[in-house]
Amino acid sequence: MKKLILFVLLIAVQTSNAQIKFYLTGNMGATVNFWKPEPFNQFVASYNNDAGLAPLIKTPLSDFSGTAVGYSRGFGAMVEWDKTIMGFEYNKCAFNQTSASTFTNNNGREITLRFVTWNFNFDISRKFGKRVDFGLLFGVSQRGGRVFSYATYANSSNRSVGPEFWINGIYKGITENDFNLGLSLRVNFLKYLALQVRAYRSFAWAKPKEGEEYLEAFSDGSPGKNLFSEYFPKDFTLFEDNVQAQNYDYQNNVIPNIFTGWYLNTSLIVKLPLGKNK
Amino acid sequence: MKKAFYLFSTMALLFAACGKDNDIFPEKVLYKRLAAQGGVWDVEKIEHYSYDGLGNETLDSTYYRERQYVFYEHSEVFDYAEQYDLSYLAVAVLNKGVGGYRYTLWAEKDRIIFEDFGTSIFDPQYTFTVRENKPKTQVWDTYIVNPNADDERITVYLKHCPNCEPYYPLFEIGSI
Repeated sequence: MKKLILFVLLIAVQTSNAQIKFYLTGNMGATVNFWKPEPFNQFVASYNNDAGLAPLIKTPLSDFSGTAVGYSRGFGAMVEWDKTIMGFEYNKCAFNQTSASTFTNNNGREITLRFVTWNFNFDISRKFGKRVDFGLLFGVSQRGGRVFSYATYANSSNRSVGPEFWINGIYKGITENDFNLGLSLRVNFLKYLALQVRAYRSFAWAKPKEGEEYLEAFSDGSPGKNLFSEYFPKDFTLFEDNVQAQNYDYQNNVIPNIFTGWYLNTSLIVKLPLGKNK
Repeated sequence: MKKAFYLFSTMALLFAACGKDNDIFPEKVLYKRLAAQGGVWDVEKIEHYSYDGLGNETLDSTYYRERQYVFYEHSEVFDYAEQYDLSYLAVAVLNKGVGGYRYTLWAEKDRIIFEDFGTSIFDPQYTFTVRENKPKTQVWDTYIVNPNADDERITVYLKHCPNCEPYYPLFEIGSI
């Protein structure tokens, strides 16, 4: 505690030296996530081509896109001295995608993916001219994911996650940790405002070993959920075959939450000076 | 610069606790809203719809009953010899003049499950999909698939009643 107080006092003294400027920041903008949705598209293909379902499908499920856009917002802080800037930023961003199918009787299925990232990024930048800061970004992210699998009845507002169909449910992936590496560009166009563009790649701390993917898979452990459909399947036909054969072999037919990728974030930054910046 | 880095690292750790969804206990996400201010909700009406093979929706019937859902955390001594305390999220379904039952409650943002306490996990009593989620009103759907007849939807309309007393004392309400 004593050291902490001394440290804060030291910062205050340095601030009074007029060399260091502190800012609190708020950020909001859009983030584009480039990811690989192949495991989900494998589900889509197996569902659309399933021998039992295919004759009944009027509109098949569409593939999920590898480009997802979400609204991001958060806060942070920045310290500036001479031509160097060090910033910290937290933001949260949700990415949603939906794919829907209908059967010949106008019922159907709707799959919604919801991924949320909580990002804690630092940047060390250098000033170029009066307005532009450019530098290296690094940090960590937490990434959660959910798969909502609805049966739809007659129209899309009639949706059920209840157990009348086994594949219905809300499947949750455990929250994963990634680390981020990238570049940060900030253009200060007003005294307290800046436009920030960041491009970074996320890397998983650890990926599941072969045969252990189910440990990080999307699962629904709610009461009444049939054990055969506890995990969201990668291959719908294999899932059905397992159910028919009473083969509880979920380990080889799951989608682990391993969706790292590139992120491109564009945000408006509000900079609030802290203390007496000169 | 080194010390400034420590300062920001500390802030990062502090902020890391903010803004997370409740992933660990998703079944409690909606409970806080449902159990607020006494947790008493009036069942305003229950509608039964059916769908034919063309997707046409028909309102078959509407019920108006004096029924309450009361959301609370139930506690009881489970084993009198060993004095094990047991507590869980519960809902009491109370019908005025008739009585009521207690269920265990699973209350996600998008899904509500009433389950008979002590029954198999394969046999939940009711699963509702949340259609409308507001502080004062809730609308929940549950569906029935009939292989040889029209599919059905049952929609329950709830209204929050902060000043209402439960029809029966909750300690008198047993599970099925």
